[in-house]
Amino acid sequence: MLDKLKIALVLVVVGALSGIIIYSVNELTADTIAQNKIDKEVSYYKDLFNLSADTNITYDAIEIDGYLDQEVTIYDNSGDVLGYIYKATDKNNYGEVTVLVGIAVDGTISNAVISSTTNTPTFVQTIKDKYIDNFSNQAVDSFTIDSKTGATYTYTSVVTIIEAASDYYLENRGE
Amino acid sequence: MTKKDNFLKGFFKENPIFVFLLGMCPALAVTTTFETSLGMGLLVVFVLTSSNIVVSLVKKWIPHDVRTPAYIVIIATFVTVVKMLTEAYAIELYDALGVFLPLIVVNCLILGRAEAFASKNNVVDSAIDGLGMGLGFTLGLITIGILREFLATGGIMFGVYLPIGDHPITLVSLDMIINLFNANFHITDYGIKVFSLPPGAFIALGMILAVFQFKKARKDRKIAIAKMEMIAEKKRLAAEKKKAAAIKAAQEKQAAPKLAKAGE
Amino acid sequence: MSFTLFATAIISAMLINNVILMQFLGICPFLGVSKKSSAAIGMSAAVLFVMVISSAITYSLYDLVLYKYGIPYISTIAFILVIASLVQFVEMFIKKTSKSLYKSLGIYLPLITTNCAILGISEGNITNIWTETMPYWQGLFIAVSTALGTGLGFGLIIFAFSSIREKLEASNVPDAWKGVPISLVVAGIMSLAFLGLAGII
Repeated sequence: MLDKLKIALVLVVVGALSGIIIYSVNELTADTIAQNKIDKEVSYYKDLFNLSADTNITYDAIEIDGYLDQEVTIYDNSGDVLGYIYKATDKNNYGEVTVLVGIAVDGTISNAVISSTTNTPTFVQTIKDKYIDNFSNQAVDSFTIDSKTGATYTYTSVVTIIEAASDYYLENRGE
Repeated sequence: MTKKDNFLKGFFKENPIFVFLLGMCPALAVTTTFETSLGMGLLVVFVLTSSNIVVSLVKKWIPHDVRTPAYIVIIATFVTVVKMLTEAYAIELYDALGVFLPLIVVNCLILGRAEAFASKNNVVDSAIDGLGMGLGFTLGLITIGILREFLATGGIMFGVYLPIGDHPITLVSLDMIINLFNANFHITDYGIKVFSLPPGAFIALGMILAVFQFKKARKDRKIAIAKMEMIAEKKRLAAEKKKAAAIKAAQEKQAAPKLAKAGE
Repeated sequence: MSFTLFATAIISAMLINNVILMQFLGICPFLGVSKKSSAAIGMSAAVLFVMVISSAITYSLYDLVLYKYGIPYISTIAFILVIASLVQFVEMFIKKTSKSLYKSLGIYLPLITTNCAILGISEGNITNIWTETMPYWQGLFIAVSTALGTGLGFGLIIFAFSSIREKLEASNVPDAWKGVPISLVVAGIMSLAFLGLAGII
């Protein structure tokens, strides 16, 4: 009986110690994690509309049913709508690609950026260096797509997301 | 075992991936690039060393029957701490490792070392063993990662996942070498891209293990040949001795009647 | 909770996103156990059983207890303890009911605890299926269907691989490739075949 009690006591002590350690590390890092995420998203929003890092913007995010994840309406500091940002994640053989597409109120694609991906970095770098800038400043109802890139899976995901975003914009926000 | 032997054994003689075949799941999954393998390896070094130290410190107080759950709780604590720190300070690495970060808990290597070594030795030896084994594991992961990334893309990138520097740089690239001769040929367009995908992982690991086994087979064959030669040599010596003894006996037999005749 | 949801979850977990060949979970038993077909079948049955029950328990634990009381980060420890106790339970149960099965499974039963597949599926369910707005019963249904599909996929691949390996033992493989290396290359070819199924669902 006594050694069973000893076993239980040891387990309780070990469990309690580990709980304390985890709890304290969580307190230390949870705020950093949340803040990092928000900071990163906001810096992407500013990049998508070519704003400098210290401009003040406010934004409003709504979840969308269907292929796209969310639509974020960006207001500049006088309350006017600057444009819409669409976020979606596409799955391909290498993993996932998350793209943010910024469409300005005048119906042009202002920019697209790959915000996070688990694809092989060299392929992602090829898209970032040469192909994703080709979408900027094209009209949302008639934009052209380059066909051969050498990083086909990643590029196909990016193109799918941009096309879905432009379709949504034309259906719901375009004139 | 001296401290130096203890530390170095994890690198080649008892390498966890190539000799013991432990920790195969991360060895195949996170080695798509050199940097993710390096990141995962360093995290495993941290968890393995810390858990070895703690297990060695408390080995006297943990009853024998419940040692496995207790070790698992200790290891899981460190893994959770590492997970939260990675999520806070290296979020790209966290996304790239995915589910394999919490899976460090069931990495047979860590539980195996805690059971086999740390529960029987003192703190310093256990720490050195953990460090050595962890670094050997990292070496194995890096080997596979470099092979896969090189074959798939023709170069190695750094700075994408680990929070070092502002921009990712290309460390090595076949393009750099080829551009010395011909600036228009981009070998990255001709990479064997299957090595970034799951099948390539199996095949790359198979190739590396085959290299190790080839060396071992050659060494074994040399030892077997030397042994057979030694046996043949012994047989030859024994046969010669027998022949010499037979000749001597025949000579004595011939000499005996002559002596008898001379005696008369 | 329709049949389509069930079928989709099972097919995608079993074939499209196969646990061994695509997700790389459960490689240690894949290379270690799969030399004899009979041991392979016994092991995969045990893994299927533990996987389904543990994914139900861990999903419920996360949704109803851990997230509700604000301690989602304790999930790793909680899940592994649930799995370890479940395996202990299953071992005692098999020992009492069927001594022959216990003898044939031997050492593989406690090894299920460190099988990456079970903890991987439990954590994967939380990442892929659980969201803050998903109702509990629907999430549980999808999680258990995924676990069922995963277990079936695991069994399928281990059985196929063990049959191939039995043939490989008898064939004329060069010395450097004998044993594990040639099995890995064969696994790579199987994985290539399964890669062709990607994108169906």
